[in-house]
Amino acid sequence: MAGFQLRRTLLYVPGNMPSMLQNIPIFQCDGVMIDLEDAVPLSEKDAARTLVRSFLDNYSERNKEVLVRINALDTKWGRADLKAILPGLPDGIRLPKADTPEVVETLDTLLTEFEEELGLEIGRFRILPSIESAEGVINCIRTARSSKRLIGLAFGAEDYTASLEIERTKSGEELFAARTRVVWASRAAGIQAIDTIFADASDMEGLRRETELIKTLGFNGKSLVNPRQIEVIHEVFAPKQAEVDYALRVVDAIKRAREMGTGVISLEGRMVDAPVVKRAVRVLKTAMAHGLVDVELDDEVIYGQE
Amino acid sequence: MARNSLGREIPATFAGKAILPYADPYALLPERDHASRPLRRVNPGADKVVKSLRQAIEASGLKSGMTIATHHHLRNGDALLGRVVREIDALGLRDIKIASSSVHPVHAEIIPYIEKGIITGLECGVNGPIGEMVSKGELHCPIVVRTHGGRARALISGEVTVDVAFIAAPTCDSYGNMNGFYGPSACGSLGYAHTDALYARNVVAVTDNLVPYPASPISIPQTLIDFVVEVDTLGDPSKIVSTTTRVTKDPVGLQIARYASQVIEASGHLKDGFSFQTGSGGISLAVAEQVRRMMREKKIKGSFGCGGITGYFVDMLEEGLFQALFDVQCFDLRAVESMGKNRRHMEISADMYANPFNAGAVVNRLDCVILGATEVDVDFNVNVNTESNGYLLHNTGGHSDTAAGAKLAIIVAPSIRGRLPIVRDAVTTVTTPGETVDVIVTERGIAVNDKHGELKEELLRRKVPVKEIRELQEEITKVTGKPRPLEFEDDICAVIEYRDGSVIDVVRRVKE
Repeated sequence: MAGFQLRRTLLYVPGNMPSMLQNIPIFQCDGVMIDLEDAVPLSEKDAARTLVRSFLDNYSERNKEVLVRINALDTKWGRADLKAILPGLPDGIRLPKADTPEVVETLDTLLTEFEEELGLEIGRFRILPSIESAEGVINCIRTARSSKRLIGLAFGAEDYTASLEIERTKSGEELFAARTRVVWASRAAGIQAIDTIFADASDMEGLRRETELIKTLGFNGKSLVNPRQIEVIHEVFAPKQAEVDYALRVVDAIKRAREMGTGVISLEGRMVDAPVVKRAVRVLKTAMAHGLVDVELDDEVIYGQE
Repeated sequence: MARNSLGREIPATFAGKAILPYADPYALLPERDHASRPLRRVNPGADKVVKSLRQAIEASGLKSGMTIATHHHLRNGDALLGRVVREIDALGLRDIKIASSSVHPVHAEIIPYIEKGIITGLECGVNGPIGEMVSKGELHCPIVVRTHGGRARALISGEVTVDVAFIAAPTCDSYGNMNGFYGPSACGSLGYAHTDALYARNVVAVTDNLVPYPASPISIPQTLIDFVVEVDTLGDPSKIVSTTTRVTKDPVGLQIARYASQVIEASGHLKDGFSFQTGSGGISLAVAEQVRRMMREKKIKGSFGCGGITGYFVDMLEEGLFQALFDVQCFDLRAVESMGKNRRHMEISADMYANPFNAGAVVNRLDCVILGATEVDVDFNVNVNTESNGYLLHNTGGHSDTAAGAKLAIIVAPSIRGRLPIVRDAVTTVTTPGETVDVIVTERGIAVNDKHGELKEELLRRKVPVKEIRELQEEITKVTGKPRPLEFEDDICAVIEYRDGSVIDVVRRVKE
C-alpha cells in the first residue's frame, strides 16, 4: 500500500505537439502518456522524440506520473525511442502491442540495460503494457506476471476490436469478456487494470456510463484522449460520502483493535479484518486525492507491526 | 508630471482639461450638484417626428465645437454613429467631440472624419482600429477612456456635457417612447442610453421600427425625447447580438473555469442570496456553468445576476437560481427574448449599474464577479485596455466598477497569451487597481491578494493550487522567457479614467 498510486485518468498527449506538451503540468489527470506511436505521423517520428526529450528535461516539478508510449519494439523506431527519452527520466513506458509475455520481457531487459548505462536504480522504469489484440487478451494472465516493472495492464479496445474484425459499440458488449479477463489477470498479479479510451470527446454522458461500467468491473481507471474527459472520470471514481464515513469508522476501529493487541474487531455488528481495512484505506486514499477528506494514515497502525 | 498612488506618471492636463491623479478606490467625492439642462415645453399638437437625420441634427441645434453621443447597445452592428458623423460633415460642422458609451471596430468608418478635423476628440474608450492608429501616432485625437459607471458619472456630474444624444431605438413611437426588445434591430436593454436621455441637452431618438403610439413597454419615456427620426436601418442585426454565446471547449479555459469555481465555493459567498456577474467570454461562461451546477446541487437560491446578460443567466433565472437579473446590455438572442417576456429580467441604466457618485450602485451589491485581463502584475493591477504591443485596443467596460463593488473580484486569464506571460512586473496600462482585485486564476495556479488570508488558507486546505503571485510569474516565465520591455514616446494619446474621474494611467505613443 506504500506504493499506492491513483491511476483513474491516464491522458494521451501527442508527442509532436508543443502546445499540448506545455500544458501537461496543468491537466488534473493522474498521469499522462506522451505518445510517440499512433498520434505521430511517420514523417515526424524523429522530431517528436527530440521534442519529448526536451520537454521531459524541462519538466522538473513533476506533479503527475509520466509515461511515454513508444513505438512497438518490432518497428524500426521502438528502440530509438527508448534511447532518446529514457535519459529524460519518464516514470515508465506504455508498451503497445504486448501480445505475449515475451514482448514485455524484451522491454524489461532493454530497460535494465539503460538503467545500468544511466546509473539508475534497476527497476526504476515501470511498464504499462497494452493488451490490444485477441492474442494479447488470451496471453494477458501470463503477461501480467512477466515483469516486476509492471504497474498494470492497459486494455486497448480500438485495436482489439480491429483484431476481432468487429465494430466497437458505445454500449461495449463486445468488450465484456476481454475486459473481465484483463481485470482478473491484473488482480491475480497484484497490479492495476486500466481501461481503454472513450473516443467521442463530445459525449460526456456516454463516457460517464462507460466509466461507471468499468469501475464496477474492477478497473482502476481509464486511458483518455481529451483533457475534458478527466473531470467526468474523476467524478465517477470519487467515493460516495457514505463510503468515506464508513471507511473512517473502519480505520478508527482497527486502530482500537491494534491498541488491544488484535487484528480483528467488530464494527456495527460486522467483522473488520485485513481485507476490510485494505478496502477502507483505498477508499480514503482516493477520497484524499479528491479533496473529500484529510486524514493521516499510519501504515503501522493500520497493518500492525511486522 | 505627478505620480498617482500606483506610481504612474500623470500629466497636469490632458486635451486642455486639468487632471486629478488617482489616489484610492473609495474616497473621492467632489462637492458639486448634478448637472442640469434647460427646461423644455412641448405643447399639444406639436410633432416630434422629423424627416431625416440631417433635419434632426439641424433641429437639435448642434454646432461646431459641441459634443455628441451614441450608445453601444447595437455593439459591432451599429450603423448610427457613422451615419451621424457623415451628416455632420455634410452640414459643414467641425470640431465635434464624441462622448459615446463605447466605440467598436465597425466605427473605423469615422477615421477619415477624424483625419479631416470633423471629429477632434473621443470622450470615451475605443475598441479596435481607432485606438491602434492613435497609439501608433497615425491618427491624432485625444481619447478619454471611461468605465461604464464612470461615463454615467461624468455626464451626471457635468464633467462631460453631451449637447446632442442620438439614441438608437429598436422600437419607438412618434412621441419618443422606446424600448430595445422588439424590431429588426432588437438588442434588449438600452442601459447605456438612459443617462443621456436624462442629461443631454438635446435628445434625438433614431428608429428603424416606428410603431403606433404608445410603444410598450417603455424603457425610455417620451418626456425625455426631443425629436424622433425614422431611418431604413439602425445596423446589421447579425452583429448586434450573438446568436448564441458558448462555453469554451478549450481544456486550458475549462481548467481555469474549474479553479475559479473552486475559489467561489471556498469563499463562502455561495449561499442563499448569492449575486454574480460574468462577461460573455468562453471562460466566463464556463465558470457560470460550474456555478449553476453548484447552486443546483446545494439548492441555493441566489439574489441576482448582473451585467451584460447572456442566455446562461436567463436559464438560471428561469430555473429559479436567481431572484432577478439586472441588465445593462444583452449579449445574445436568448437574453433579448427574455427581456421582452420576463418581468424579473430588469433593464437598468449604467448609472444604477455602476456609477460611484449616486446613492448606491448595483455593483456594490455583487458578491462575485468574473473578469478578464490582457495583463496582470505582481501588485494585482489589471490591464484590459492595451495589449502587450502597447496599443489601445479595448474599452474598460464595467471592469473597474465591478471589481470595486464586488466582494470577490476574480480575474480569469490563460497564463500565456500569444507567447507572452500574463503576469508582469508591472502592467503596461493600469485599468483596475490591484487593491480592488481579489484573486487571479490561471491554469497554472491561483494567486490570492494578501488581504484575503482566510480564503487563501481555505483554498490550500482544499488542495487548490494557490501560489504567491511572484511564484506564479516565475513559473510562467520559465516557459515563455522574459519579454523585452516595450518602448514608448513621451506624448500621451489617451488617459485612463478611474470610475471616480481621477486618472489611473495614461497611454503613450508606442515607439515604432
